[in-house]
Amino acid sequence: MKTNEYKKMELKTEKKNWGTSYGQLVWQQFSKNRTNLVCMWFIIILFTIAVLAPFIANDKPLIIHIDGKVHFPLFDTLTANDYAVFIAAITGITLISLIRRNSRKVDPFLRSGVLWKQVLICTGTLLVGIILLLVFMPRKLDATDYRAMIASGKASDAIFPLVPYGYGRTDIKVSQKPPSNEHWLGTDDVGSDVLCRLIHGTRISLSVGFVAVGIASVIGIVFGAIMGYFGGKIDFLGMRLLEIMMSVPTFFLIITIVAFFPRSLLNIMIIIGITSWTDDARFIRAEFFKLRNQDFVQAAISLGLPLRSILFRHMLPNGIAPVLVSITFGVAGAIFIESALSFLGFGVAPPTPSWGQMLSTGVSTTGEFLWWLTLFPGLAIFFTVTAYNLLGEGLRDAIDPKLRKAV
Amino acid sequence: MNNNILLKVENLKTWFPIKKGLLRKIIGHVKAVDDISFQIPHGSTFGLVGESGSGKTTAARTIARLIHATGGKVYFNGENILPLHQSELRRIRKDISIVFQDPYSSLNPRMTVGSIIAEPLRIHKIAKGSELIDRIATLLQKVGLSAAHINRYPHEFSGGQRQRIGIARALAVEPKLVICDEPVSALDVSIQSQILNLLKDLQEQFRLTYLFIAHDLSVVEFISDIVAVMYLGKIVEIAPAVELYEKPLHPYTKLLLSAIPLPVPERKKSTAFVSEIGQEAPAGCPFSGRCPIADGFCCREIPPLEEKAPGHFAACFKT
Amino acid sequence: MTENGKILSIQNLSTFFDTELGVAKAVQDVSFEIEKGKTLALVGESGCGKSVTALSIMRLIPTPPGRIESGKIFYREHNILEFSEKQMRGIRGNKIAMIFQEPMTSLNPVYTIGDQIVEAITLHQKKTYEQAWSMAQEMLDKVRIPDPARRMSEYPHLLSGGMRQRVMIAMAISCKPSLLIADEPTTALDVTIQAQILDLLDELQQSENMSILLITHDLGVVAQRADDVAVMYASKIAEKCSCKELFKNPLHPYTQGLLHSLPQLGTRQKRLNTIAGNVPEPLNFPSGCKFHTRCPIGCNDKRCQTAEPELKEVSKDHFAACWYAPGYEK
Repeated sequence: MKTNEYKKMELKTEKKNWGTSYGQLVWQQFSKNRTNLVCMWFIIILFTIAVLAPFIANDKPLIIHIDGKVHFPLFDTLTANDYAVFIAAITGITLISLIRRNSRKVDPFLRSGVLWKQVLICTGTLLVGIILLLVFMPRKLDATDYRAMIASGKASDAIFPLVPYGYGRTDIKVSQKPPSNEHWLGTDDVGSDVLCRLIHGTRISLSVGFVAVGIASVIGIVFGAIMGYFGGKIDFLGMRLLEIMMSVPTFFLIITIVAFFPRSLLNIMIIIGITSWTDDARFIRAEFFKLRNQDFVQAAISLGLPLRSILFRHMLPNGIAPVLVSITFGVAGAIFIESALSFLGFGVAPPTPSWGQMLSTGVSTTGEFLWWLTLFPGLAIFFTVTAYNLLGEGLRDAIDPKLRKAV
Repeated sequence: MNNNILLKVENLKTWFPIKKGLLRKIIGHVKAVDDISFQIPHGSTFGLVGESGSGKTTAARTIARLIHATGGKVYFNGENILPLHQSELRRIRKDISIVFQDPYSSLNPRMTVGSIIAEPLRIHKIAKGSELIDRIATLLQKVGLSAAHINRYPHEFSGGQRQRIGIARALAVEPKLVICDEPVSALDVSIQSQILNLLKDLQEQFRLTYLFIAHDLSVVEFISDIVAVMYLGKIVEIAPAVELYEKPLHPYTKLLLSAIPLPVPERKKSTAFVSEIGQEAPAGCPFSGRCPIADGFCCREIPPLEEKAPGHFAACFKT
Repeated sequence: MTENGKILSIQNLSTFFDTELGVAKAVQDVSFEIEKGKTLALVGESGCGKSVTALSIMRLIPTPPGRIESGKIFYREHNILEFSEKQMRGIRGNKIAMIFQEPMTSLNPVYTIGDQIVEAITLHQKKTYEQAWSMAQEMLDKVRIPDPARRMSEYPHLLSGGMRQRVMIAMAISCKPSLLIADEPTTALDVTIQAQILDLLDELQQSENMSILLITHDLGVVAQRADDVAVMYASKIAEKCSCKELFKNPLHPYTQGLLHSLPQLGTRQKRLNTIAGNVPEPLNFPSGCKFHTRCPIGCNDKRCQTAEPELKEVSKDHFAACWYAPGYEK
């Protein structure tokens, strides 16, 4: 069968013949705009800071010589949480680089299958890793004051992180000090370093944004997809439920719920998540209504493809665009809500640092206005939220009108 | 029943309810397809012609079980497929496939050509692995594309090429009946003839049976063996293609034929000025409102589809 | 410049679009003339530039990305490409009117039919509302809309496609334009309705002594309605002659291919003749003669592949752009 061999050769070798996928087109459009790229890099840097927070701001030194022996106190005191964040970050980076590699090395024809396997393996390792960590990782406390040890000559040759303070440190002696050489962004009411708390607060804000919106979009997509595909009575009931959800002022609902549950980060994420899925559901429903009558969906039905494939291979990828945009806006919104909650005192409990909570300490008990405690967390919130919003807008422009027509 | 008949439609009805008010009470029906019957022999092409709103597309989609039928029976290979459940339907889906009108909306823009064709092959367990790729390549070559197109996305093709991909997808499942829903009306003239020839070649090669829907009579005449003319949800005339064009019986068919602008340069006026399609079907013959020869009787009674000549049926009192 | 009988004369019109992928040459070097009371048909497939030509005449090319690169468009003796936007508004709708393909979207759904025609009339003529209203009613009667008085106060969605196209025509002719550009006026309509609309255009042309630029892809429509024909392929005119001549003696291989590829009624062909290949896209035109990739003569010919033939008069009043057209090289 000479022709067959020829055909296979043609398939394997000719990369020229690979088409440009929709994702690549969107990326081309997206990366044309400089603002988009700046925002994207800003958020990437923010993520890096969040992941590496314990290495950037910590009161434990990286290396120290005590009695002639080398110690690594910083690594010894990393918690299970820290390691979980590292694993998540590594998985994320691996996935992104795999996707980039796929688009260069794997036939577009086989790509989705390969990607599925990669995603499954990665999430599998991630989940197993985190569970193992949380179960087996012992919680170590290290209350040693290494600086005192150096001062007293017990230890030497210590390398401290960039910001040599812990976020939980209280030191009444230096409380409410304005920015100085010692504390670049000043200290707060209990004497913690503001810069250190800002850096650790990045983690809280970003993870709230991500997890909350993740929960919201999963609920929203499933709900909207079901309403949109089946229509009729299911849609009618679903829409009524949605209207009930929407008629309740979300923020007050959150405050009410928060009052009933312990003030933990996870609770806040979940609460924000389950109260803000309505927009996603409406977008997906509208898209699915449109797609339902498109010929390619009709074709999929007429070819006898299973419902799973029709919903998730044919309809979802074509209807996800507006949700992607709303997700980026949602992340900004969630960060905002968390800040507001913390500001009002309903957020995470101290000493866990959060930008909103730091804002609220800006006015001292004596009524004095401590500008550095308001300005820096305020700027952090402002820049992060703006970056996400600009990113969302850029994405919307890249996805929406012209390109959709072209595809 | 004749063994040679692949598809037999009996009294098929598709009505859409008109709902009004807060409680969505049904106040009436749009009779998109109203009591049509016909049969298609193995290996032949059955043309269904009509203007927009005549119900031809609805009829086709009802037969393909994409739209719920209100009444009637559809026998496919002697088995009534209308009452079949979703799970049993899978078997029939493999035997009936559709080529759609709009080559731009009928292909999933997020999937490569290869995956579009591969999916039905995998689902129906026709091929897998390297055999799958071979099959797709062969199919693409059969419809006049190259195997190298397997990794391309639909937006990289022109309208005619996309329609070829649509045809390849329809043929991938090795169907017995292919429903062609205006497959050429969205294409350019020079591409139209390519696709029509292709459909004809494939029919010979795979012994396919076509249900071919179009509004263009000259296209239908070229490809069909038997032609049925639909008007407002009813079939008004069925005849072998040659006979229909030589001796049209129903006044609507005559009107349609006279309205086609022939590529012969001579100015002519369409003789009959008739009013446009009515919003509501009259009580009697659906065509009575526009018919030049209708009388009071036509407006009251619905004419049955009768055999006026051997193999030639028409629904008109006046012929 | 123009003779008395010529309403519109286009000379070497080129319209380009700047896209991200390069310059799309939608119309290149197109010239034709329309005489008073005559119909010129512009035939071609999608993307050949026929609609862009029409929009260029109306100066309705969206700029950017589009621009009229070069050429002259004479309406009677004025080059309307030099007109200001204000002067152009006096031409549009008044002297040159246009009807579009899609009757479903070209009427504004929130105004009544009467309002829309009255607006078109009062825009260009000094008429009171009442006068304009009765004139509009007259127009509706003229385009054979039954019961015009009642239709005047109805909204577009109540009308069928054919009726809407009639309303569009009524609007277009309400200012008695001397040129009507009909951009695929019947493509979205059923055959029986198409015949009626074309009859109507015919009648109006005779009663108003109006010129029509008929843009279509349907050679049947051309044969029945046109006096002269220009066949466009890949942004250029491939052949231009009288309608009778075109169907009797087509010279350009593209025209020949088009005519032969039509399925003909009552002939029971076994196979259709085809033109191989696909319609080229404006960003990707082939070199040389743009038709050579699909041409039965030109596909292996060096000259066709490298040099582009210009439109030349090959016999009296018959222009063609093909190296192999009889009489091309004298």
